Amino acid sequence: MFERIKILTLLQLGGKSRRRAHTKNQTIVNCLIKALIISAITVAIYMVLGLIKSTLSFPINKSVLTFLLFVSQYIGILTCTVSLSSVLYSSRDNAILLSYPAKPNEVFVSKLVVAYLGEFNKNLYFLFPVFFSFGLLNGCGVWYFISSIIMLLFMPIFPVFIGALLSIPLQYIKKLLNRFPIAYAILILLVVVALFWGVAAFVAIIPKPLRLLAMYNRFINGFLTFVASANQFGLFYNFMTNIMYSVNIGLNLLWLVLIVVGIMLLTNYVSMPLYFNLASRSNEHAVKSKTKKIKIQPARPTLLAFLTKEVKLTFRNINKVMNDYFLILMMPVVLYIMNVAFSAIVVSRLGQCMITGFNVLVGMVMVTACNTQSATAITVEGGEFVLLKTAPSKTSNMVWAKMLINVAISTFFIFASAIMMSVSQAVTIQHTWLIFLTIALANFSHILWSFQLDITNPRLRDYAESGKLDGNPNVNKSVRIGLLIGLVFGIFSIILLNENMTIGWVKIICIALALLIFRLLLFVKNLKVFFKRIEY
Amino acid sequence: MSKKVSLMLSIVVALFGIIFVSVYGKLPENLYPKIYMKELYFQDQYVDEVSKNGNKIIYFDVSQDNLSINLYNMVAYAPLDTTDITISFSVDKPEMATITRTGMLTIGEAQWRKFVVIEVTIKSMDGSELSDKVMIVNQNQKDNNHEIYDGDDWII
Repeated sequence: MFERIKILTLLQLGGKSRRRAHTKNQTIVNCLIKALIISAITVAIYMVLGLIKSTLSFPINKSVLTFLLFVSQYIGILTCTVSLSSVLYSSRDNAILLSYPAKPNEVFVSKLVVAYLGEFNKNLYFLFPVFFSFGLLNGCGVWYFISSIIMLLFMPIFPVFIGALLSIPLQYIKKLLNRFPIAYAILILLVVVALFWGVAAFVAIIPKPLRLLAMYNRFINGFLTFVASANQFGLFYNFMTNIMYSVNIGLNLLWLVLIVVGIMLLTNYVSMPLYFNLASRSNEHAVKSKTKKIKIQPARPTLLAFLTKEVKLTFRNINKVMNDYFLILMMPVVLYIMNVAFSAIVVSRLGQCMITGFNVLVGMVMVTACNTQSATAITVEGGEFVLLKTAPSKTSNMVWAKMLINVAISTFFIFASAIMMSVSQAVTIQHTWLIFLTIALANFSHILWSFQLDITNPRLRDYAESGKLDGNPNVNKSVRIGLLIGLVFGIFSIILLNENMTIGWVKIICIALALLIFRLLLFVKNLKVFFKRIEY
Repeated sequence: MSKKVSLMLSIVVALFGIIFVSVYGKLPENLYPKIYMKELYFQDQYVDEVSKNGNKIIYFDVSQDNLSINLYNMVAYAPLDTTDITISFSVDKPEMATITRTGMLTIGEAQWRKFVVIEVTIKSMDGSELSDKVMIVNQNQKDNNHEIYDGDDWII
């Protein structure tokens, strides 16, 4: 049994690892590189925490460590639950793994082992350096460092096993929501309303006028009080730090072991028996197919036909909408909070220019990160793209249809952000709309640029084979370009507006317009040359 | 770079922006609207005794523990709804007691002699100042009041 679990685990790990080691020497080199990276992160965290402790008088103690630990682990439980619900029950490799001469329970255990190793790996890069730095800064003894390594081994058990347990109800909820998309939409709406309510409550506690330096002591006090009260919800993670800081080691260790055993038993008796049942059922029959009588319509212009198709593809799956546009959905919220904080500061003229600059920068970074849709627009057609191209019409129009959707959605959210900005009253109404215009123009340029990346270097075959966009170079390039555009416009805004407000705005809009015209001309030329050449 | 990194980066830049603007972009403080502090005092609930000279005294049992208290919690001031003030604490015997930036007063048992005087000062944006003092006295010295003095103002 163990041999089969080991083989299944290695099979899954082999598919995941990017740097494959074929020889013993390569393995040693890989391990050394990993150790070097972890050491570098440890040194960096130690220096940052040391600086915070010495210059800012920020407490680096057990209470803060417990807070960091349980917050990071709660996030880990959340991400593990979401990822395990797809890895365990709807992963593509299930079809292969379940057909091997192994029991479904062994597949289940192997998947948990893979998840455990993934979590352990993550912890090595974050929690290990944090533990080590806290120990050094607090002058802890040998026991602290030994126990922190033991805790590193313990820690991934919680998110993985709790995730495996929670993934079952999550899977049922997912299926239910797939069957009732309106309920899903209402749920998302409720989450958005709750988010805005939370934001409004948070914003209400920002004091006016906001003087961060004068309020520093009050902030630290508030933070420590918050940490102390939050640690009450740290549950078993309090046991871990107690063990590390030599507080009732025996009792805390006993509780910890009992909880681990309890979670494992629960997983064994609840999750494992249900695994095969859930994993062998697909979502194929989750939605009942409806037969509609379709009226035969007269032929529509190609652009309109492609546009209709794109609108349907974009909005037919709420999961996809959230995945594609989550960041831009957050944009009005982030900008609103930032601007409320700005409005609480009594600023000078330079401060006013800085506020405009930071609005442009943050707005552009967020909105351009969503243009990865354009950077993968052709790629996601996969194997079907060549079929589309054979249609007896001007198929290059599909590019404009795809682009139009991206432009429309992002412009709508830039508009929403501008409204939120004007509500916060950090910038004047005129400046708000000038910021909107600048971001909208630069965003359109970036969409053209991102689309051009995909036209000149489409990854149709990769996508057709894997169905994933992970590691797509166009995505990375598009996000980097967006960041660069945001930085340039943000810094230019501060400098130019500080020189002369009116002329500064004219210059900024002219630069954005010039960039747009330049990108448009380049895009049209590239489209003419490369679209015909795209092959599977 | 992924979308998640972008979101994180945006939040970090937004936080940085708030700090940057509040440090380098704020109006010079002499141009702030004037705010006059009306009162400042160590709260009665923390004060054990007021001497005949009107000095506030807090007794502390040194034999039980080292003294470590948060001074911020002990102070009340008005108006409360302003952040245009700077609060600072000082101690008359810095070799005996330490006060951190977060207002934590710490006196080790070994360092205890008789008493320390803590002074709190609030500076308003218009330059006006208010202050109050409290004397933290070793419980064992309670009956030896004649021995406790530190300057003319603090003879009990």
